[in-house]
Amino acid sequence: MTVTRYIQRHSLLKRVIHGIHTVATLILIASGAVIFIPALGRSVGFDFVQAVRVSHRVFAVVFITAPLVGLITAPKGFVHIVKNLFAPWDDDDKKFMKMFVKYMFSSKTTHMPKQHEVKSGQRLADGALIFSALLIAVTGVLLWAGKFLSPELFRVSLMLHDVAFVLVLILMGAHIYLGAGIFQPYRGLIRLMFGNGRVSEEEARYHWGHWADEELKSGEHVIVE
Amino acid sequence: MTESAILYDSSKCSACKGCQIQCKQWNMLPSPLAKNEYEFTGSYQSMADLNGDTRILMEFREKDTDNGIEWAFSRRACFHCSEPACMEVCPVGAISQLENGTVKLDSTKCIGCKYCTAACPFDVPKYRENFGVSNKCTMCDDRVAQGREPACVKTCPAHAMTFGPRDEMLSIAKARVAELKAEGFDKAELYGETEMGGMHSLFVAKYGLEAHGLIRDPKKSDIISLIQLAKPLAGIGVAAVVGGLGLSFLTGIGYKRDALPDDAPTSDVAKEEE
Repeated sequence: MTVTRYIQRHSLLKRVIHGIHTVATLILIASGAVIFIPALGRSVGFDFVQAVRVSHRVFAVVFITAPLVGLITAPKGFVHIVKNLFAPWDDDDKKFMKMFVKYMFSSKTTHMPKQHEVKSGQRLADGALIFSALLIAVTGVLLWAGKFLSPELFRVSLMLHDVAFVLVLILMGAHIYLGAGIFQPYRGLIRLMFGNGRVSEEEARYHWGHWADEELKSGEHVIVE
Repeated sequence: MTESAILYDSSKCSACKGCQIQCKQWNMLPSPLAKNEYEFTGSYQSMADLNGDTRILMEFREKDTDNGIEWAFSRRACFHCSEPACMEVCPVGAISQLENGTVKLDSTKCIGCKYCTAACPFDVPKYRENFGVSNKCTMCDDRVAQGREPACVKTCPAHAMTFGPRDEMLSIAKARVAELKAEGFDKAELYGETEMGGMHSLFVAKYGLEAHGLIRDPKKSDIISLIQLAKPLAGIGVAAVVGGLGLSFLTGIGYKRDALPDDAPTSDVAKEEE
């Protein structure tokens, strides 16, 4: 009988919050686009736009609340995420970034260096995504409370909300391409967040070699099936 | 169709506020019923600014002179620009320009996004909280369609407001400015002939634009222009990312992990070894 070792990479709470946040973000992007692109709003008609606008506010609350729930229920997990984000870069991290563009366009012939729990490129992308999400959330709240703002502050909030929207759109595109495994070397990784959160030893060694070594050595999160 | 315009002559205005009342009556816009609900403005002006239920406001600017107090009255309402920034940004087409130049806000189509309130260089459209829509002067397009004057014009007892073909209104206004200058009001000016592409609410400013609180050479807000510019740039950016990811996907077709063993050297290491 073949025995496969898995590493539990993401907890159930993290996966649930990520799932809820993903749904909220996608709905917010779609409903925001209707307002952001006037031609789109005009083509779908007033009633639809009105419904979309209401949904935008409902899911904006979900978008802001979901990570806060995670922060309150699992503060240690939050600290872990922040620590990973600001982890110092070693030679392999730098090498990974240098090779990343080549990897994206010639994955068949490129072998990437070993990585820690969060790849260096993902740390940058996650940082940018978190920054954009915070910016879009804060400016969104300001726009919602528009009657208390001066016209100038309202205009600045509107501009920053739009800038953050474009950033989120681009970063989400890349995040989905990689995270959902549309990019061939990442195929199957979608189950890390939308499945049981486990990664096989082989996959872990390929994607996060240093992390896999540490996890397999400690055995704390290792599952044998 | 001929372009129309309202001409307001501040030198004839007595600031009786009849226009404010008539606008509210015709357009069924309520006023607060409680005593002193509006904060005292320090003058005879009814309220500090336009609001969701007030489309026109008579402004009082006072100045102490040797002859006592002098007032520079202003009619604050939508100027019905030829190049309306509010219409450009409206995501649902609730703001349109009629053939006679009126910039109409259809509240039944408005979704209350407040983009128009941000775009207008004069801060004219206001959000109507209890209805969740924006509100501004429509130049009584319903009355005008029936061959009548806007309600504010109709009611003006001092004939400080007139309504008619824009060309005619411009001629009258220019003649009036010349008259005022001849009477010694050197700073008298006409506002609205060329501003924002030419406006359909003209203003004879007896004491000059600044004295009446009018913005000299108004422009679309830089921020709104930036937002408008950002949209095509965003489109290009998104298209570039989608194109790049698409190319990445195409080059990855046929990828097999087995072709690269776990212990294969990283690409640049391989080069060093060569």
